[in-house]
Amino acid sequence: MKIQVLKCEKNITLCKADSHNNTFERPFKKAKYALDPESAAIGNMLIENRDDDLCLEITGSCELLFGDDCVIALTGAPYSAIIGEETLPHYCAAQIDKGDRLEIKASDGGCLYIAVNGSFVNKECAAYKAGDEIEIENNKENLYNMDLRLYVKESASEGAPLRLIPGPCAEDFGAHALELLYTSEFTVKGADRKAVSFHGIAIEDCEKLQHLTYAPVGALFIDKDGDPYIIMQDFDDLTDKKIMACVISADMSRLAALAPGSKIRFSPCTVEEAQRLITLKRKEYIRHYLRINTYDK
Amino acid sequence: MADCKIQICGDRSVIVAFSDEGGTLADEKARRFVKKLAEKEFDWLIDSKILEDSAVLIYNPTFITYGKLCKQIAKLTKKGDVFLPKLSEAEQKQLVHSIPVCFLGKYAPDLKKLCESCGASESELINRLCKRDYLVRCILGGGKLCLSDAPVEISLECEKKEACAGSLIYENGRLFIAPTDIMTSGAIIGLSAFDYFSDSGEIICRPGEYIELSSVTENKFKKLCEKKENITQRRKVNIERQ
Repeated sequence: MKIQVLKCEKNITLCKADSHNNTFERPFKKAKYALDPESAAIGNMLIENRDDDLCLEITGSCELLFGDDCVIALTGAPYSAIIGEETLPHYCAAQIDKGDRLEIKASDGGCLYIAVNGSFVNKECAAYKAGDEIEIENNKENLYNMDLRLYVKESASEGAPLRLIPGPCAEDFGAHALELLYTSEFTVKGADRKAVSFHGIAIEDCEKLQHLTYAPVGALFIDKDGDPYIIMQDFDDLTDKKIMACVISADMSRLAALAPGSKIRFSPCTVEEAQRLITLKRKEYIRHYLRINTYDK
Repeated sequence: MADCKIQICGDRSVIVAFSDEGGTLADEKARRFVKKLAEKEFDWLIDSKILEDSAVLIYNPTFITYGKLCKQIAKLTKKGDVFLPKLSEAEQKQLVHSIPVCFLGKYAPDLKKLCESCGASESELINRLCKRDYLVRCILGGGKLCLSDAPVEISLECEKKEACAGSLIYENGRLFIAPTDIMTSGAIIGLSAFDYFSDSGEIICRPGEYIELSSVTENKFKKLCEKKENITQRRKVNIERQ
């Protein structure tokens, strides 16, 4: 089965839905990991793929032509997805017919994920542009014998602060800097696959380390202007800068969906609380995963 | 638990930093610790990495909480052979990769600049670079191999540019090798003819192993590149650990 890319405004990337957030495979295998791994994993689960299978990450508007019948699920950013005059719902398995043209219109911030039942012929992560064809094999042609699952996405807790675990060098920044981080409001300056940067009250950075240290996706640093930035999937995982804090896994989806111009606050969180939230989310997935709905296209 | 400190790095990873009783010893502890973890095949361990004198563990928090992980690390470092005495040089140098490097012309665009900065002639500097073995301390982001200290220590500013796979890079007193194409702001001082990856895509030079550099002419370099096989890897000493 082939999906033809008719139009592509920004990026269509084949990436791995790495539900474990981060591994050291990255530097060598040139793998692209989903910016919002949680949404990518849910998309795969909805259509009975493995949660860490490859899926398409889309930023910007695009148009896709399906060469055969297949089953897909859209997750992530609330981009509108239209086939003819019909709007395709998000967070739900949906059947696509041969010759369907899926028109995706981007909204501000985040990425849309398209999980396709079956496996991508290209096993490595790749970027596609207009005119390219995406090959898929062993795809299911319809929803027959599939539980039609609908994942009810947690209502985005608008305005809620992003929760941070103090980094290994948090104390080196001093109590005043930490207080500024947790009491001030910041505006999103830029957001891409490398980092989400903020602007607000200037926070003093501390001296660099004498050696290199590991920085997970979600690590928060202070730049030379005193603005915080949080590293994302395409950033190197080693640095000599001190990590001030790390975003908790449960809030990574919200971080990935931030659009430039949006306002955000940060609040401190303990590692124990962050891990309790991961377990809670996991249970929630399972609960929703088992919920059977009926959906007719 | 003695001699190591656990640092929280988000809700899925920790850095286990070993004490600095002489650089090599702390490095060795980190390597032994990671090796021991790999042998145990813990279901909670997603990945581990040696980072000079510390180890990074990425774990699955749905399998093990931070509190339990600390206890597990304490147990491993207490009972294990992580803190055995320092290895002898012969024991350490069980595997040395001999890597041919071309230090000429276009393959070493920043060598002249480095020579000028440290006041040595090109041949002198090449001799100093090739005279010793380098410990592979860790594998950095972008796949860079971080080697033990270079024979010169000066600060050199270079423009950020692309270094092709195999480049030998000098940066702030350290030598690095880029097994894949990367962007660097260090000085590119040579190009090696060595395939750093096995057929299965695993990196061949692992932390704890050694690298020696040998200077080759442009013609020999081209021939070695054509062969595309690692004929240079050799075992120096093979001592079974007691």
